[in-house]
Amino acid sequence: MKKANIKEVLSRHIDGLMEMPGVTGVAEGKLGEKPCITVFLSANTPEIVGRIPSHIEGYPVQVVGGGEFKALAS
Amino acid sequence: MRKKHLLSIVLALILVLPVAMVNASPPSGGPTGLENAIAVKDRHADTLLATPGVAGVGVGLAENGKAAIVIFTEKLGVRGLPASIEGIPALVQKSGEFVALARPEGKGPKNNSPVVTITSPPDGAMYDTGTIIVFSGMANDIEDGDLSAALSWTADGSPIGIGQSFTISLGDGIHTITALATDSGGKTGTSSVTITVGASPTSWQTRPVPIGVSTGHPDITAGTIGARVIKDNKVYALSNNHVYANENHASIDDNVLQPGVYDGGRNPADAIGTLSAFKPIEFSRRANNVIDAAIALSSDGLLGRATPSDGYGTPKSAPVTAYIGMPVMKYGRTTGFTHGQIYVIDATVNVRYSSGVARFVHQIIITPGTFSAGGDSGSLIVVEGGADNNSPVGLLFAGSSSYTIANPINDVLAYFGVTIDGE
Repeated sequence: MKKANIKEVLSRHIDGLMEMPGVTGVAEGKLGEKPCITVFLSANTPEIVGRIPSHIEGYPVQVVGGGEFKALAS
Repeated sequence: MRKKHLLSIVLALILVLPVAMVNASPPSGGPTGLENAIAVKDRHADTLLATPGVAGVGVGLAENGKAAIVIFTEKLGVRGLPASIEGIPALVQKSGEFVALARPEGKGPKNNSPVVTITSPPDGAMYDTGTIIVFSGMANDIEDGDLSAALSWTADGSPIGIGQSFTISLGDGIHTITALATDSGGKTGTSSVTITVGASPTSWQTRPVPIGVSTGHPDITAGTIGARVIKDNKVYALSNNHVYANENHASIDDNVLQPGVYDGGRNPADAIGTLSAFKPIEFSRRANNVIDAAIALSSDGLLGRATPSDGYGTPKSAPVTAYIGMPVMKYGRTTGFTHGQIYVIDATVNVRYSSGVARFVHQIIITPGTFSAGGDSGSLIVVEGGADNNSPVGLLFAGSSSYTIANPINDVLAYFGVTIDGE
């Protein structure tokens, strides 16, 4: 089975992922040289991480913390 | 390199041992059998040294005071080594462990790192352009003692001097000063301070002001001038909506200041332009915001097109599209000239503002976390190195302690119908 383009896969799953508690961002990333889906979390707790699938439509999902994004005025 | 160093330590120990032996032993030819052990060691040294994992061979005293052949290994658990040779016991020592034997004071096998202190300049110091700055520091090492005379100093990674104290002047800009000491065991210790020479990006700047410095609407704290952009022969300052339009609350024709109010900017005395246009931000977790951007009408006399002299200079006009791994740089009000790389693209992110959370799509995310901080909002992000060096990629607007987020610059320029006034 041929994998769908990662941008198509992202567009199908972004809303669902962004609604999960603790998820603050979803992007196209890379694991080594291979494309992956990168999920940013506001808190890297096992409970939140446990809810994120390890693969989506054949693409590995990379979960990272540090996603407390805010506007950067002084 | 590391292995070579290890071997030189081992060789030094082999030389040291017989001396310690003479001091501790009965008169020459006594019962310890040192000479015989040395002869046996010499006959077998080549064979032992050919064994994988063996770093050296020596002669020392066993716990019972009798001579022993000591086989130094690079790690524990080297196989195939004899327990005795020609009746003389053979002791296996991991090279690192043997250091303990050579230190009868009982300091243990650990080599401590030197501790470095910078006594001048103080962290955060500011100097006028051209000031001769005194650099001085101390380095102390538990094993080696005072290493201050061998301190190695750098400014932003480039060497500026060696020793306990010296003077030199540095160019304008924010500089990270690091003093490094290396002990005889190869362990290093460092200390760093950050100093500013000349006008800092937070200061009031001589008009026309450079890009990459403090700016803002009178009702906000401070952000950064990203670039000078042009349209129909008019000159504009580019920054974020949340810097120039106060998260949709500002009115067209409001002044924008340099520096921002947080940095002492006064309205209207420090105005460099007036708000011309901004893209409203939709504060919703379901929104599809792409840009947080605004432009302020300025002039050639008030706004330049290059960063301060310690930055990347003038950006190129033609933007490029981000890719994962792209090396980038920016000059901003808070962290100055920094370097990073693009970590992910096409990011959908929720960003917190004073007015609430807004979702952005198609964003660029950059690492490391030190690439930006609060006050850098509005900075232009450009490519570092290669054929596209200085080409604009993104407009910095948000981030966390680990990441920086930027709008694709193409979308920013297209929305206002402007081009970057670059080379």
